[in-house]
Amino acid sequence: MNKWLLALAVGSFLCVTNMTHAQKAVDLVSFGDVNRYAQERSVKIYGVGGLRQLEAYQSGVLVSAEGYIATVASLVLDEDTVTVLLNNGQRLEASVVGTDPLLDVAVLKLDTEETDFPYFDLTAEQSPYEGMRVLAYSNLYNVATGDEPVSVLHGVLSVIAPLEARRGSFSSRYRGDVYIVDAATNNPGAAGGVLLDTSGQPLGMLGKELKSELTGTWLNYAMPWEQVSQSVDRILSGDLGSAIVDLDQLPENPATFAGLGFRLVPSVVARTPPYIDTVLPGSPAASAGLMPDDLIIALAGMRTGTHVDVEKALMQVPGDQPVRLTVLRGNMLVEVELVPMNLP
Amino acid sequence: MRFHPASTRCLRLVACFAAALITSSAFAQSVAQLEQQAIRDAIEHVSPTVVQLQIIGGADRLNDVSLASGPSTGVILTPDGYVVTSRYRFEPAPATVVALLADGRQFATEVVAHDYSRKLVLLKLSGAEDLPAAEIAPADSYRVGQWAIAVGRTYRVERPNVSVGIVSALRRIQGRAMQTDAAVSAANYGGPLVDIEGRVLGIIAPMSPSAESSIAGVEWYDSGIGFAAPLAEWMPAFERLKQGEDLQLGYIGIGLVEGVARETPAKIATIAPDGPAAKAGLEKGDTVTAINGVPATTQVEMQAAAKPHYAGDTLEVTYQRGDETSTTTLTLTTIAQLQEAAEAAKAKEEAADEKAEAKEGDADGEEESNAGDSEE
Repeated sequence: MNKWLLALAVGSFLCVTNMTHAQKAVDLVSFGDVNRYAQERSVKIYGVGGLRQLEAYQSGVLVSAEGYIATVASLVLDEDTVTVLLNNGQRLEASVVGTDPLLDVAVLKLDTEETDFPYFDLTAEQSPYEGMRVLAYSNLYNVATGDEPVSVLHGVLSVIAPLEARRGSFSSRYRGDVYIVDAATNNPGAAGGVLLDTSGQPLGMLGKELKSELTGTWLNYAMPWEQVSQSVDRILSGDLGSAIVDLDQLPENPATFAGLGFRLVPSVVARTPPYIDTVLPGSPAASAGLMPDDLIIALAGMRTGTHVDVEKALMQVPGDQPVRLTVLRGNMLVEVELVPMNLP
Repeated sequence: MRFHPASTRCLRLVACFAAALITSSAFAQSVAQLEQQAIRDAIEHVSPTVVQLQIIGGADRLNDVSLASGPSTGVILTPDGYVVTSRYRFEPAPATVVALLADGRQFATEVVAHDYSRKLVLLKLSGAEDLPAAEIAPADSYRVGQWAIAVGRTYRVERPNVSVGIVSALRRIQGRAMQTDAAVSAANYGGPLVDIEGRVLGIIAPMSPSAESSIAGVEWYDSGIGFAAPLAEWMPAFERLKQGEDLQLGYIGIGLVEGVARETPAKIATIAPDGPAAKAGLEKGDTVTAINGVPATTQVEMQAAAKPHYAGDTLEVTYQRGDETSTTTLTLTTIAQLQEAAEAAKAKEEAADEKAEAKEGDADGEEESNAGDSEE
């Protein structure tokens, strides 16, 4: 009996102590465990700060036992070295290994010979879903200093959706899927922090402060961990070229109004609806039965709410291929296909 | 191995503690899992009834406030395609609105009528049939502290976007809305706030306790202060909107005495000329004590009892004049009609004055009656 109890006690003790380096987030049971696990892997990063009014701090996470850190590429990292505060208050210099301009991910290396840092597993895989509970760890507003734990926010994953966002007039380069959350992660210093599921598995890296192009509101989001992982790989292997090819690949000879044979009502206000003004006789538009006053609501699968939307959509469609349009005629939705003239 | 009795006892304690720790955390885990599953199920339940609204045309700014440019959200109320949404993007009216369902169906829509008081608009999807309709949570199920999940369909057609919180308060915005701490913004205005069973508690819309415009309250987006018009309570209004009747906030046509609204009785300081109160025989100095039999001991209570009603609704107003308590009925009017009546009365009075002046050659300036700025 005593032996059995001993085994149980030792076992449960081991269970608690065994969570230092091993990346066994799955074993973590209580919030306390998860929190400890996350805090040990979170760091505070201090740099020079680029321009006035911009904070000189951000968040980051350890991603290897040798002290590699993933964070966001920003003006905070403008100098080649930055100061990193570990969870235990240890202050270390770190050098910027590289940055990925597509995802705005940066990798730092702690200037140390130590090789037993606790870290988040870059190969961790999840299946997130809308409504999934999430935890966000970051040093937003530099609330935590020294060995103080970083701030944790809780919330749910709102939706997995393409990043359609901008800061001022600058559009985000990455337009792939991100994890939008309902916790207020969009705050100074939060970028570079980590989004976790409730078992401590990394889901993503908290993104920079951006406003949604759809809602006009500040966007709380994280870059999927898989993307971060690939980005870190690219940086460490020096193969950043592969990131750039993902950028907008526009066709060389895109479709045009002239080629398709219709004109829109002139754009006079910001949200001029894309009504067809004229259809050229004998054109692809005429053959497809398009008519003046038809309102184009989708072009090649892209939703078009304005004159400008139609122009942008056309630029992405090759000029020598059929184009599908959805138009509103009266209160009827009509689908048509426009076939360019020079097709066989 | 041999153990000292004391350390064995100690060990036993540790073991018991460890066991308790494991069972309690296992229990906590299962509760968390159940909770998570319930949230997922609730989203799944309501999701087919939540439509994306592609808003075409319309303003990009209103009163110097930038409006969202992406899609909005609506909720299907009937299988034949009545959809309710927020008025947030409907002032001025967009050129057209196309409704997109998660299953890929899309519909042209027309605006049936507006509810200016609760800031909702009713749309009809053209040629729709067999649509999934939202399940409505009964009004007597509302509880402060219950789960509240805000659902939109703004970011993508095939998946809803959600935020989770609780019902923070009931009967806000003078009795017209419930409050939630779930994140609400243009990402879910017009969408449903649902309970843990996926039943619709209310329709999310920007609202403000102190302003009636279609965008008042947008500054509180994602702040933990969000509002939704309770749907079960709104369904009688839906029947009126279906007939094409626009609904507006109903006015009694009185101004109340100055004071602390939460403490001061609803004593009448001014009566709008030819307004509902004037026609019903209410006078300056009367104190309103009940609306439709619901006691109102303060100005706040009176507003909460009166403001949920629309122009055209008939109210029973109980009031005190001196030692006497009486009850009268009146028909609420719109702010526009109230102003019109007041201007007509003023013009009439001025005309009478001019006549008198013309007759007497000279007249003393008469003090104008002032309707006051706190019209109710």
